[in-house]
Amino acid sequence: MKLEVNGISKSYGNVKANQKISFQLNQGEVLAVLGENGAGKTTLMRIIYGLEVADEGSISIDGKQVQINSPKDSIKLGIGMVHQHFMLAENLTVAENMILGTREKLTELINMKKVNEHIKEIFAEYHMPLDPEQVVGSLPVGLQQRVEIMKALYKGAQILVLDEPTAVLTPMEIRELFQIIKELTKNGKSVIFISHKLDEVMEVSDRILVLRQGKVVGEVKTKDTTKTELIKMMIGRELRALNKGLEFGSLNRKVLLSVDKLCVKGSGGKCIRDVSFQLWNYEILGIAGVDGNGQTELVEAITGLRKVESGDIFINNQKSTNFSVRKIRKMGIAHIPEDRRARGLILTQDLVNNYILENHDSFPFSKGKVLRKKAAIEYAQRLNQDYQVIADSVFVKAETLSGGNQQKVVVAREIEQQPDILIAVKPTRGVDVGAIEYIHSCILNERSKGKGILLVSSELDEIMALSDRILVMYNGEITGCVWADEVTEEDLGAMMTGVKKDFSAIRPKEIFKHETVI
Amino acid sequence: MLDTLMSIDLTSLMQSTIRLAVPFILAAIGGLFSDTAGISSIELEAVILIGAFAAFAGAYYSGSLYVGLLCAVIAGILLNTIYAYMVVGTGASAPLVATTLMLLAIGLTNFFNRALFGVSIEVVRVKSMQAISIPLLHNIPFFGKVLFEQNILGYFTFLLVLAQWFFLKKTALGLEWRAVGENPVAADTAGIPVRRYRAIGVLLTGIFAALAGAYLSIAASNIFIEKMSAEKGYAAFAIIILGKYTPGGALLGCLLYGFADALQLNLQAMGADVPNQFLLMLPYVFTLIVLFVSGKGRRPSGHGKFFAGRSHR
Amino acid sequence: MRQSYRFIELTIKIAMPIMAIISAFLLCGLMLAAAGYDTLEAYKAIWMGAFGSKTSIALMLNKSAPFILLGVGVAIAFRGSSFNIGAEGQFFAGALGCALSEGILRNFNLPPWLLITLILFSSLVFGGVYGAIPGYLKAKRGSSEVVTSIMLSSVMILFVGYMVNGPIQEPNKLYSETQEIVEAARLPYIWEGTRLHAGILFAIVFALIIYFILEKTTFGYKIKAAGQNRLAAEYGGINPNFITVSTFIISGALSGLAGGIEVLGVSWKLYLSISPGYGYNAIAVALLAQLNPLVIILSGLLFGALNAGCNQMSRMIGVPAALSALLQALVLLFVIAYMPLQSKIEKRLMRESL
Repeated sequence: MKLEVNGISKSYGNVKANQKISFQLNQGEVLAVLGENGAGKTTLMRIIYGLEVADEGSISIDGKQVQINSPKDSIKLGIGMVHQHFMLAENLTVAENMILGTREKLTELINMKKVNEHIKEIFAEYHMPLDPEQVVGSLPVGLQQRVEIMKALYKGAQILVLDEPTAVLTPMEIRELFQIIKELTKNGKSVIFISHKLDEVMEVSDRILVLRQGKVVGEVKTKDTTKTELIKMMIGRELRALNKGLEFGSLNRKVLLSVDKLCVKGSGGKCIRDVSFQLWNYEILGIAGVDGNGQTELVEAITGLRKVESGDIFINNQKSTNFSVRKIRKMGIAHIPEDRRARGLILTQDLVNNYILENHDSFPFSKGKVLRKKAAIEYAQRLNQDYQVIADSVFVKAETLSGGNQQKVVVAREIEQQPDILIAVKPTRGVDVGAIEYIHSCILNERSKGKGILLVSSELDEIMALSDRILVMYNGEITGCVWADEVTEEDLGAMMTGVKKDFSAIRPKEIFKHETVI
Repeated sequence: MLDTLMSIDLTSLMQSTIRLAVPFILAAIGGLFSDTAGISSIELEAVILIGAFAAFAGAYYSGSLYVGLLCAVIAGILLNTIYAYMVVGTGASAPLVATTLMLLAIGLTNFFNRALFGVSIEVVRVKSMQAISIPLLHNIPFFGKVLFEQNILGYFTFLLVLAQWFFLKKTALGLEWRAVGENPVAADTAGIPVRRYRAIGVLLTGIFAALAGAYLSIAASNIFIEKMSAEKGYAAFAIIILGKYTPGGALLGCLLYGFADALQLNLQAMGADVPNQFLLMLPYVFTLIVLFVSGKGRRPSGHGKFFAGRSHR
Repeated sequence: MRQSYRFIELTIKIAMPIMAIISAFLLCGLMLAAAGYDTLEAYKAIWMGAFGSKTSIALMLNKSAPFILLGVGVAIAFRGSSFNIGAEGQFFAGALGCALSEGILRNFNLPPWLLITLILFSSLVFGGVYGAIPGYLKAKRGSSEVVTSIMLSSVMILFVGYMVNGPIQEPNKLYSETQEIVEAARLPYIWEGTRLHAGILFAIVFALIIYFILEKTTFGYKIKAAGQNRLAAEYGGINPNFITVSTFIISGALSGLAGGIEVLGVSWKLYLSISPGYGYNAIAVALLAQLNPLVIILSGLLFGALNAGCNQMSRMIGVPAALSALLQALVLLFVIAYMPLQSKIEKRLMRESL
């Protein structure tokens, strides 16, 4: 099957998400669609899958123009999609999820026993270690993704769209996914692989389509291009070198945060056990691991958002176990949360109110329980300026800002708390390259001021570029504590799946100089 | 007190348990049609009240109970069209819309009750539904009297529970229905019309909850009393939570309610030496305890999540 | 550009409730006609009943006082993202507290100002404590406050029914009510020649206080933060459960106070029909005013006028007084029906002004 996309455009209000995009996908081919956040990759795929309707342009399959108005149409045409956030009903079983939407007549009955047997056969055919009767929510993320792939194939997909499929996988699982992709193309299926990760794109694809600001800026054969060339196309310039800098000759090193044999109950029966580590001043301690291995619970326990079952936490040598969020913040912790929209900002309020979320109780923003609006406004205006937040004024609601600017607001607010310890969870998730560079420089700047930074991220590149030391979490435990400049990605991957353990870096090296590129 | 309890006749107690449970079951099962699709059925109270009045008025003017039932169904659909439009369509807060409809139902029924029937001194009555004994079956000792001497709505109700269970568990449409409640976005990408299912669910809720109201005014009694729903809709909503959003759970919860109500009425009738206000409080206190025990309960993951449809994104 | 945007935004904010009121009157007029009444005559009678004479204005203001207090109470809970539809029960809790404390304090020969203050304070406490229950259940167990507060309302109304038929029934045991309160405990009249009592002043003062708390204090900041994003508030060091319980307590206390004022100012005794459903319609009062305590004074006056006017109208031309319940419900219906419209227009304006 051959897919052709001709001159697709789509805008939301004044934002042109896609402008005259054309490309084609041949049978048995892997086409990578590369671009940074907000380049229009996802919109394009949503149009192909029928979740959005294009303003103009057309799509043809095998030379025949087709009309795709809903996923129903695209499924019928043999297009399947695996979304970044899986489209699975977690309380239903694997088989129930797979047959969803395959009903032919209104009164169709289902015999789950037969369905399960049939699906078991299909799994056997593809060598999938899946049980059709298992409830999807109880499966690990990697397997949930396989369910998604099998679901698409079950519905007859000839073209498979994978949207950032590696974001949630371990290096090992990524290998396996690539293997699956190879087998699929061998069987004549075609794959569109959406990503912003260069290494993966270089490895898995046959051709690469590069998008920037909604436009196609390049189409190349993978074997004819280089990473540097791709970066240039992707962001329109070369990446700035990240100067990690700083010579720490004779520093007065001290422990800022100490976690001792921490046990925390997580959501859905998961928990973290016996986690111990120390964070020192002048260092960035990265926490690597696939999402859902206890990082969220760890951060919530340290910041007072989740109850500690046993073990202790010390901030500046003072015990803070199970203290309230307020008290812990007062002891010197600031926190850039994982999800800025859910936790970081009150989207329906203006920037002024968002900037004073944590210190509206203290002078100069209030005096004797009465707010001092003027001080807050001045503060907000200063922060907007200092942190290059692009907004009409400080009185616009946070929801009107772009993702990158929203994140800058959060970063600004947290850094301005002048904490000893900054906990940054996925600080650059879903923002453009400019904002990524800026936020990284802010974090490094804090480090050179002597702060301790706990950087949690599932992006290994980010962790390796910024951190001094790296902790690895797997299944609620720490499986590694290593030097960022000595460890290889393979070793990290092994630790992330609990295959290997390495605790060679439990306290900082005294001197280091480093220069690296993300 | 204990003596009074011991002297209650078990058969008649169970009979009245069923009789009192029927409106709860109708409402709760009706509510489940929207709850399983992810829309809160907190509007039940309003529908019951309006259904009770519509059934009564319809039966009174036409002289036919079936016309009364039809009127109730129409009123339920009309009222829940508003609910569906606002909650499914525009994403308005379900409790807020439900409260509005409740006030509207009170306003409408009070006003029209007084405007239409308020003039005469005599209490206006209709002829209420009669029980139909099922030949042979009703001769089974105990069970025959308890189960097989219902009026037509009673039988219908028990069939409805079965039908709903079959629908949700055994049909492809039912699976899609549950998927809409569990993860509307996922259901949408599988090509299922999420908003249409949800709107239909709300309308079905309207139909059955209105029948629950009709049961109160023209089956279990023969008059309409202002605010005669008496928080039964909210209780049914609590039962749905307690029953973990399944028809079986709801059925059990409703029977428990019916039993508590029957016990309370029996005690009142036998002149137990407790002020009757306290006996009347029992169902409410019971609901509070139910809510305390079940908390939020395990509910469909997509419950209460507005799905705006794709064009809105 | 931005100025004109602000101006248009404000215009919409004002226009929407007015549109809602007009729509409600139009639809209700149709229903009146359908029920065989003369709509215009009825509306004229309502107007005359509310504003026709000094007496009726006083009556209207007396009716407005509880609407304002309860409306403000519902609004503050709403701002903290709780839905208190049990204001009716808290109203009766307050009225009960009032009757009980009056029964005790009447024998001490206290000066009127002290007596009234003490009694109203106990109303406040009774309402507040009763309001705390649904707040606690919501914070601790996640129980839907809509259902719990409704159930608690019914329980309290039954309990008051028991009290006025038993322990605190008037001495002759004929009527289901308490004995009349002593003269010293009655709220003073504030308008010569009418029965306008000081309740309306209480209502306005409390509306101003709540406005100040919401807009100018750190507590108000916390309420709004927790109300608009619970998770963010928690992350910022605000305890959202504390906000849930405390706003419920304030809401209940204001409702309780309204109950006390009703007993001390109007009925002079406690019986079950002292409320024509104030608690339920307070939701409409609060939402019509878009939860702004200052505007609630206005919407409270409107609802007071509707109630007083409908009562008069019913006496004059025989249309059931239940019309006021219908009108109020329709107002609320149109308010929430126009909400998405309002936000749609605002969004479009925002996009164009960018």
